[in-house]
Amino acid sequence: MDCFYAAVHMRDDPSLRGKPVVIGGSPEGRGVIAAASYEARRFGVRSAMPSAQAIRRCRQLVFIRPDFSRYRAESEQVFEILRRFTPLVQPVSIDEGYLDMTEHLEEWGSATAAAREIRRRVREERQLTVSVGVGPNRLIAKIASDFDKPDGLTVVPPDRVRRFLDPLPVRRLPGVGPATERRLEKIGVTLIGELRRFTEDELKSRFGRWGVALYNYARGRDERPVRISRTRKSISKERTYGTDLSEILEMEAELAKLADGVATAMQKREVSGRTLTVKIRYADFTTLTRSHTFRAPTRSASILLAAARELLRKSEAGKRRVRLLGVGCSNLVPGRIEQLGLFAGE
Amino acid sequence: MEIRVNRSHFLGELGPMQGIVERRTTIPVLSHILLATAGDRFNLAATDLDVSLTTSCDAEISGEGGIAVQARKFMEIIRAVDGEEVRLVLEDEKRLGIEAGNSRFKINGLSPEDFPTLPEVQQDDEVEIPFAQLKRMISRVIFAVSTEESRFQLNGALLGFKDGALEIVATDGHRLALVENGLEKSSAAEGVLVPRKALQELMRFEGDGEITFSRSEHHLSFRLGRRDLICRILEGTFPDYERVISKDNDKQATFGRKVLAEAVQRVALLTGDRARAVRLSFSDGKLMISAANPDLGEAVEEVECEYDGGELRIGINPDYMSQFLAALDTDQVRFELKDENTQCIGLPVDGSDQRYLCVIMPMRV
Repeated sequence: MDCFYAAVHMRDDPSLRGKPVVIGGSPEGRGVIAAASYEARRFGVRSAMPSAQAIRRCRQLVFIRPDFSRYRAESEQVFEILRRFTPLVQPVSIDEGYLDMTEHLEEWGSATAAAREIRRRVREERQLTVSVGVGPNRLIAKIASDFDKPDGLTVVPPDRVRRFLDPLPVRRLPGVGPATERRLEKIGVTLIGELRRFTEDELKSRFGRWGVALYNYARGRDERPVRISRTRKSISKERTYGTDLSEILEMEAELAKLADGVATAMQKREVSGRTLTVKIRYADFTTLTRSHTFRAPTRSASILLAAARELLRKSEAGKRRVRLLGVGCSNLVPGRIEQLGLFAGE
Repeated sequence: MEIRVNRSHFLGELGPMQGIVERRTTIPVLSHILLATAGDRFNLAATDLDVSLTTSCDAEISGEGGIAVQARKFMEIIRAVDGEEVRLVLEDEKRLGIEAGNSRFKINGLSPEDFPTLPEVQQDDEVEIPFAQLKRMISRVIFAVSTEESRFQLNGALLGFKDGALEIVATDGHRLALVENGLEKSSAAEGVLVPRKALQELMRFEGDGEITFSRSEHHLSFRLGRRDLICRILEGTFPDYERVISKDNDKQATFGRKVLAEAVQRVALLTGDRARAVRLSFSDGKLMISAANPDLGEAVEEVECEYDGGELRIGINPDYMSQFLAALDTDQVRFELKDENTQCIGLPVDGSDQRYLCVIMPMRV
């Protein structure tokens, strides 16, 4: 989806159209930008940028508080459209996913024809634009989908993979961030085509297993299958506080809210979990996570909270000020099965 | 110091010590037992700092002294050697000679000063409990004690003294077991939380007669014959348990205990490790127990029962049911039920206890 959060708001509120819109916390607090419209991006505003910094770049920026339940509902609608094309749909985030069209080419004529149809239906039914990449595997499809954003369609047939990849900066490859980019630059590589000068062993000796992946990516190879659903590994909630927390009781009250949120989300998704994790970021930004594994899976807010509180007490929270708290549950077990508690509130 | 002691008698006292010492500990002395003479008594002690056990052996003693020896290795040696008698000689402060049959050992130990001082529990407010009765009562409820460390106040059982009765209650928040029996010399006193490990160790004790219970501010003592088990009182508030024993469960089902227990265990074979639930479907005169697991398959078994409460379906953790049925010794068992969201109550039919029940909270399936 193109600029998904912002696009949803701009669709529903015509007065926002054409304006630099961002979704995120207010610039007075410690909020960050979750999404920025293309108009806002023109000012150099990017997602994950602190709101305070964003407003300095663009005075007329329109701030909108995020409404994640609305995005989730919209996302479900869009994925419902995608599933009409193939049941093999793998969502990778709220606004991004892969479709394996291998078994459904006859039905739609070609993957390219299907891509056109997807774009048309999403536009007509949801009034949102989507960028689609068509390629022989996930790697190429992903890079192609980013190639012509917003509202683009890029098709890379198998025999044109190299021609497509070679002139692109290495940064376009999944997993290549600033660190790898710098290391590659040191060996004279800035474009994907230049990466192909190195043998598999050379890359492996420099980058380990990651080097092998780079070697294959540079050749447009990617064996990862499209899986129907990404199984969720954990459910968590965290919050950064406007002013640091210094009292342990205050922190426990916040943990209770977070544990409650996690329990509610687990209920909604019909999962229980065995491992509870607490995340604590102290005022100096050092962050620690501590976990506790239960004997049986649970989604009871009070059980989660009891364990979270124990973990918090074992930390230095209280002695040290805390700027962020998080509660998460992993080791998830699907199913509506849930052990009810004997005592109130469980 | 030299001690001559009957080997099988000695082994009988060493056995219960093994449960007390810590298997893995960062404090070496806690994996040791203390052997010491005091006048004509040969004393033994073990502790993990929360639960301690002291006892003594009849022995021929000459000289004073003591040493702490590695508990498991020492027991292995005493068990392995031949002969009716074992001779222990303190070679020096940290070395003990063991002689039995044709064997001679010299083992390294720790100085008795390194061994922790055990808490003392004053003995003015004592209660006598027939040991066989206490042991039986613990066996009725111990399965319900929580092993979830984060719920520390449930990591033990509540020992409650009523006027003329003793009550023991355990719960892990999902199920609760309560047993009560008459106790002649008891008068009402505040209940006290006994940690799980102390209950387990008491279960290992043997013998008849009365166990003497006493308490101080932070510790409890259970004395039976030579043995004295001392444990730290578990701090915390035990939940208001009478409130969860529902009084308006209007449906009753009566089963042959063994038949039900076996059927539940068979069906439970097809429940996963992580989400254990069987479905109980009651209809007049019978119960269908079933389990379905997407990975494994399905199982179903029908059990006859006395029941006329109409259709009722309820999900339950089969382990909770099995453990209760195993703790019972009656031929028949009765369950009182209401609906799929209300706790069911299991009761023995014609049991020997004054009051015994197990409350099990259902699972939503």
